[in-house]
Amino acid sequence: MIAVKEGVGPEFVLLMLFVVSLLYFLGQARKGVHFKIRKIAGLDAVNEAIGRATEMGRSILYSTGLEVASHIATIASLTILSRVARRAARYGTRLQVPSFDPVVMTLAQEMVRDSFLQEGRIEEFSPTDIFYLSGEQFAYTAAVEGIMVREKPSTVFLMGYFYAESLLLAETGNAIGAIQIAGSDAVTQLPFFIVSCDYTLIGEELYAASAYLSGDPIIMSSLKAQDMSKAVIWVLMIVGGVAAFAGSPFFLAWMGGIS
Amino acid sequence: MTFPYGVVSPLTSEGVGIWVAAILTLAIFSFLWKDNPFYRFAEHLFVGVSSGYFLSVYWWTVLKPNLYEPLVNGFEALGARDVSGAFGFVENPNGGLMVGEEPQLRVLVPLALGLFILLIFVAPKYAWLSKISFAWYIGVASGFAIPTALATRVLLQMEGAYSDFCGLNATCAAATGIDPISATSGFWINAVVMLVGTLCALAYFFFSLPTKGALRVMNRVGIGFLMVSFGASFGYTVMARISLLIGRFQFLIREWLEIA
Amino acid sequence: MKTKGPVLVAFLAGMLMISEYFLDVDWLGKMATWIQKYYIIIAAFALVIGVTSLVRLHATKIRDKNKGWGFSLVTIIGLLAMMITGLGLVSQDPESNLPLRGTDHPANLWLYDHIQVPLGATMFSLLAFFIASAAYRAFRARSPEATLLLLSAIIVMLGQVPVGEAIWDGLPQVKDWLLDNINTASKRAIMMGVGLGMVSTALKIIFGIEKTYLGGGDG
Repeated sequence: MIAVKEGVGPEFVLLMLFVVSLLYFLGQARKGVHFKIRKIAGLDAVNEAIGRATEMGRSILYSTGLEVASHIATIASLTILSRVARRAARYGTRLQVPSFDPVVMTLAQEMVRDSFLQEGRIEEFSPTDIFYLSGEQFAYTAAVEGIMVREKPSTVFLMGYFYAESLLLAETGNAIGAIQIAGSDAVTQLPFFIVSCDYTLIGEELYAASAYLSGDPIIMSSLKAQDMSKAVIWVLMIVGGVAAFAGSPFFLAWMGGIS
Repeated sequence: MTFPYGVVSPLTSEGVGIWVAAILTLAIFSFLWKDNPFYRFAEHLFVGVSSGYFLSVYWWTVLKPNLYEPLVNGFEALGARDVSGAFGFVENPNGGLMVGEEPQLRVLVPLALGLFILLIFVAPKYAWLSKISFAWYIGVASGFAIPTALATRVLLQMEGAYSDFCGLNATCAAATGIDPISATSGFWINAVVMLVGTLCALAYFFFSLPTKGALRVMNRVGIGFLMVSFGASFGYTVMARISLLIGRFQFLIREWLEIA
Repeated sequence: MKTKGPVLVAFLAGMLMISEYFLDVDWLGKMATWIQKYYIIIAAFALVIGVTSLVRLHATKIRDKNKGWGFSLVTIIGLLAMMITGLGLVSQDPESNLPLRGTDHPANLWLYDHIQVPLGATMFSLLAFFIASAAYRAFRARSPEATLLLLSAIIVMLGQVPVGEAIWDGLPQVKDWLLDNINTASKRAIMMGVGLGMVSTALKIIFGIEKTYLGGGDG
């Protein structure tokens, strides 16, 4: 007999809702249904930004943030990196990835190598362009700032989870005149990216980016599942609010009450 | 004014340390002027020192207690022909054996996963084995993240968005133990702002719905909420950053130059 | 096989952690605790690769006498100094006679206190200048959104300092209201979206829909 833990019902319901809608939309995508996704400003600029680096004969700098590889934002950033790397390989543009976490570095190296391979440009792949710097927040920042002012990349991507260094990186990138596309789920750092970068992917947009850039309807079906869950959450909040105001604690109690 | 630090002779290791720290502090500040050899020196030193520091920290806090020691203990037990002990099995009070707290040779599994990663460097031909390690690492992280994200990032925030309405109703407040809020106009406004703000800002994140009609209006209101919120965070941080700078100047003036 | 195997491993690892969250099974709980404690060993091995790549990069620069090779030497010296004092040296505590090693060794501690800490603190303090230049940039932006951001930044900033209260004594209350209500509502919405994004990304990995992290990009 397998026992279920107490108080995990709401998570289970939401998870099932997500999984069922993901499977449904996946099926739709396999049947060839095309989903319309709204424009995400920063992502439409990705091609333009890579093209600019190519034209100017300068490099692209991509930071996956200051979290380890087990952080989901870092994983999202890595999948975006692989899409950026495909395009960079296609145009023959140099891509530099300074890493904060050694696992991220190793994964990034393999992914970028693979992107160059798929574009038939493996001979242009330089493994030393994807390198480990330091696991110390500000040592990493100091070194990336140094790379920015010396190599003058024309395009800078800051994607993933960042802490206080966000503004140091973004302002230095701004000072060297790079096009900057940032994306983060670090709520406290978003204001600095918005002020200092050309485009900023806010929160969930970071997670949507890899699906969006893939252009693959199978992967994009996850965006429909996200929207479906969001719609349910949206309605639940209104229902919960109205019920609470009418005197019913049902929804609050179900969700576990206020701790 | 009392001098809190005391005069430190520059000939002691502490005194030399203060000079080194002060020079490096100035070298980093020089970046504000422009990139220069002093900054470049400090930056390169920082990368080297911190990487070396992490290596030693990883050895003492991760590899030694969680890998080296269990391995040594495990092989010692194996040498003493205690096979179950070598794999960290202990007597079960109800009879038989059970998995004990000490892992001993069971750490051979994470060791193998770690060694697979080294194959990338040592034997590129077998580097594909590292994919198993990474799949494991990312798989564990993903499985852990799913329910936790739903609990803390979704459910907890949903609750917070409308719980004020419960406080406005005496029955609901009593049933849930929330502090009842006397229904003054001010609290009304706050409860409505919280719910409407959350709903509109969330509406901004719909990716597959056409931004028309009501959704368009909510989208605009949502962006407004987001921007005011970002501004507030920005303004809130300014003072904290200035106090950090003051802290560095205090070091230079008091500890290095010894001016009280 | 070279992709299917790892995808299966990711699936099993993910399902194990999810099951552990929902099910009250003794061995699952033990296994999950065990996994979380020991899977950081993988990161430790990756660190070896990371630092080796760092050394290789700088050693090549020194060997080829590339421009600025002297700085590479500084990195290597710093790394060695920290490694030798942190991994190799042992000294004795004069009071307790206990051995001091690792980050407790006086030489390692000295390097940490007088090089690593002040460098980090100074980099951090540079933010005071950068936040000023960012504020100036926000001030020049001319869109309705940027104006909203700027106005609320000014209100909150002034609401925190005595000058603001001197201008208008209601400012601190407005600041608190903005932070407690507007800011919290927006943060809640962002976090909910992020939560769903995380679930989506993680599920795609567990189900093998997203495999780019294993190499084999598709877009």
